[in-house]
Amino acid sequence: MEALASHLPLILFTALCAIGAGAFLPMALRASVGGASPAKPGYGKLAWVPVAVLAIGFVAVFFHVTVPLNAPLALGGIGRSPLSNEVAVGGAFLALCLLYAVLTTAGKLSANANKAFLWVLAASAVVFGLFMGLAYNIATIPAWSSSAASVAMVALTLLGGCALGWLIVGLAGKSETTPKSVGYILLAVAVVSLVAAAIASGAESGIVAALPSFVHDTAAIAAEANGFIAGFTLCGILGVVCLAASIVKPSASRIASILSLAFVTAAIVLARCAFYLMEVGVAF
Amino acid sequence: MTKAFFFDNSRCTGCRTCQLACKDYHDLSIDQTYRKVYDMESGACSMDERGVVTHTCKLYHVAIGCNHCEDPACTKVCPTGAMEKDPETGLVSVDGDKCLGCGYCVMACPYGAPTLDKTVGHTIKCDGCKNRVAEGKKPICVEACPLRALDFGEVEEMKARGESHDIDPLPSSSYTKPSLYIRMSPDAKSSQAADSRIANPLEVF
Ligand code: SF4
Ligand code: SF4
Ligand code: SF4
Repeated sequence: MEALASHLPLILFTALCAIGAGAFLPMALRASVGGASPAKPGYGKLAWVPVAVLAIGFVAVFFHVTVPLNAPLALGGIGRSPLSNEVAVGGAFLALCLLYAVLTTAGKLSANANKAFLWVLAASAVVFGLFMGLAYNIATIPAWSSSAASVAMVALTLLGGCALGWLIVGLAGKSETTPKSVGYILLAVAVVSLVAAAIASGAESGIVAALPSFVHDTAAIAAEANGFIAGFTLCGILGVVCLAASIVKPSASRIASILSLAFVTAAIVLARCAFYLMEVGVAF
Repeated sequence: MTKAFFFDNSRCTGCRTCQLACKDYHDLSIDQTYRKVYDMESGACSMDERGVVTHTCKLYHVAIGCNHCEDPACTKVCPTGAMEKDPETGLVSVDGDKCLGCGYCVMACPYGAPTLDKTVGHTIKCDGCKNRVAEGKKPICVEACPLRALDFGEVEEMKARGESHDIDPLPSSSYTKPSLYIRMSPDAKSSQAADSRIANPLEVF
C-alpha cells in the first residue's frame, strides 16, 4: 500500500490520460456515421472535456517528480529513455487536442475537416496509450517490461475512451440521432478492451508470482495485485453494462452513460493500482 | 581507460569499514549509504538420536555499491541524461542539476544503488569517488578495506583477478553487465540459490 501511495500521481496520470485520450474515438466515430448538421459539425465547447481530463492527468504527474522545472530536459532523452518518448508523444498529443478544441470552438472546422481531425486524434490516442505502456519498458522489472503492460494500457485507453466519449456524444445531443451501429461498435470495442486488459494484467501478475526473490514474497504480491485485477474486472463489467444500457435505451441514456463513466474510471484506477503493485525487479 | 571494481569474497569479513569510510568521506546522513554489506547465510543445524549436533551452515558477505555497469539500466531510462556514464572512466554518476527526481533510475537499477533524496530534490548514488579517481587515487572504500578485499583499477586488470560476476544475492549479471569482478569464497552461491537468505534485511533494505 505504501508503494501505491508513492505512485498515486502516476496512477492518476495514466488513468486520466487514458480516459481523456480515448474519448476521441467515439467522437470520431459519431462524426463519421449518422450525419451532422453542416452548420454544427463539431462538439463545440464539449471538445474541452477530454482536453481538461488530459490536462488534469498531466498536472498530476508533476506531483511525482521533485524538480518539475527540469521537465523540459526530459526531451533530451527522446529515442533513448522510454519516459522521454512518453513525454514527447503525450505533449504532442495534448497540443493537438488543444488545437482541435480551439478550432472547433471557434467554428473554424468544416464537417470534413472536423471528421478528419477527430480521426487523427483517435489514432494518436492509441499511439499515446501505447507509449504510456512502453514508458515502463524497464528490462529489470519483468512484469512492467512485458508486452502485456503495453497491451493493457492501450486497452484501458480504449475502454476509458468509450465511456467518456459516449457521454460527450450524448451531451452534444447527438446520441438520439446516432445510428445503433455506432453504439454497438463502441460496445464491442469496450468489451474487447475490458477482456484484453484483464488478461494482460493477469499475465503480468503471473510473471510476478514466478519471480525468485530474497526479500519479496512475490506470490503474496501477485495475490494482492490479483485482488485489484478482480476489482477492475467487476467495475469494468458494470461500466460496460451501463454503456450497453445507454446505447440500447435512449430514455436512460444520460444517467446510464454517467454511471458507465464512473464505473469505468474506478476500474481503470484499480487496474493501474494492480500495475504499480507489480513493480518487482530482478534484484534481491 | 574504463575502470572496474574487484571484490574478493573469500577475504571479506563483513566488517563494514568500506561502508563507514564512504559515509564519512561523502558526508552522508545516518540513513544514507552508497555501499552496503549483505550477510548471506544458508544451511541448518540438526541433532541426531545420540544428541550430536551437525550443521550445514555457511555465511559469507557481499560488499556492494554501484557497479558502474557496462550496460547500465539507470542511464537507459533516465529521461534528462542526469544519470551519465563517463565515456572515459566508465563511472556512472548523477548530475543533480539535471535530475528531475522521477525515480526511474531507482526503479531500474537491479543493485539498489541510486536513491531519491527528497531533501536535496534529486537522486544520489556512489559516483565511484570520481574526484579521487581523477587525481589518480583509488576510491575511499577500496583504500579503507583492512582485508584488502576490494580493489579498483583498469577493467582488464580486475577481470584477470575475478572469476565471476554472479554471486547471491545479486541478480544475474546479464541484465546490466556490472563492472565488478569477484573472487568467490568456496561457500558463496550464485543465481539466487533456494537455500540462501539475506541475514540482515533490516539493515540493507
Ligand atoms: S549498479 Fe545500478 S546505478 Fe550503478 S551503473 Fe549499474 S544500473 Fe546504474
Ligand atoms: S531520478 Fe534523476 S537521475 Fe534518476 S532517472 Fe530521473 S532524472 Fe534521471
Ligand atoms: S566508490 Fe566511493 S562512493 Fe562508491 S562506495 Fe566506494 S567510497 Fe562510496
